[in-house]
Amino acid sequence: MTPNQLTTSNQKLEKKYKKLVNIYDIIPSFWIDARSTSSIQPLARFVTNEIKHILDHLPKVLEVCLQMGKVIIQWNEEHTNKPMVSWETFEKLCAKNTNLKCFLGDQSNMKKHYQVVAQTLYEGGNVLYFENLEFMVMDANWFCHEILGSLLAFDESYCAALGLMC
Amino acid sequence: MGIEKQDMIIKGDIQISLWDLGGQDEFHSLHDLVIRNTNVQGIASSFFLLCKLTCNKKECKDQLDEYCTEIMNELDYWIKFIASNTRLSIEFTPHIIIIFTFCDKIYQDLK
Repeated sequence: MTPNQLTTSNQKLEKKYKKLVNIYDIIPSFWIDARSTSSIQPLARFVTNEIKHILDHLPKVLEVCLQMGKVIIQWNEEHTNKPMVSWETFEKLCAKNTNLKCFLGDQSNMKKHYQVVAQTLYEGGNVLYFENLEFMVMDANWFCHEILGSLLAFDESYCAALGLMC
Repeated sequence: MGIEKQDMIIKGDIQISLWDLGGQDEFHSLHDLVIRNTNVQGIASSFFLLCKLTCNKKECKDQLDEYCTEIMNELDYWIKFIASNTRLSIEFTPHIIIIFTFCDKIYQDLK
């Protein structure tokens, strides 16, 4: 595939999915050497500016919810051996967050609001949360490795190795 | 190999959750679990599609056109997956950056 073919293919994809996704037409703006820090700077700047633009235009409720993302990171750093929390623990974490508290005020049905926060954190890639379960996965990387990894490895040799097979 | 997630904070206050979804077929059925966008306003996710342009197999070099078509079909799959797994908002459609890797190798091969 020549550089021209790459550009043409990219433009075709962009045209085909124009109404559904935003494909950046950056070729041939960034031809980079991924091994060189200075070479990736233009692309890094572009991505950072785009993220800033996205964040500046987020609806207010989302911005407040995403502030909880930093709380999650900090919590994970302090609790490396506790990848999951009960719903009660998550509620306590939310209640401690001043910004969230100010935004939500004192309302009767706080659980419903905290569920929205949890859902937003899930959609933002911070946690794994399912409404019908009374716990949350705080360390998604652990879940992907330990739980999903085990599921994928689940075949006859894996079972035999664990002594599960006669 | 697998689905990986890493958190980072850049410029002091921008928090990013970076997910490596693992492009292999066996992970496809699990992607719905980690990407779920039900927010009516849409979420501001950015997707990076990493596409390796080189292939060590001999048949790839012998059938370059078919290999190129295969790459484009893969991209087609992923864009459809992203479009169907993210709600469209007025402000944002899912953002996609396509990154072609090993360009230096393939252009050398083509010379």
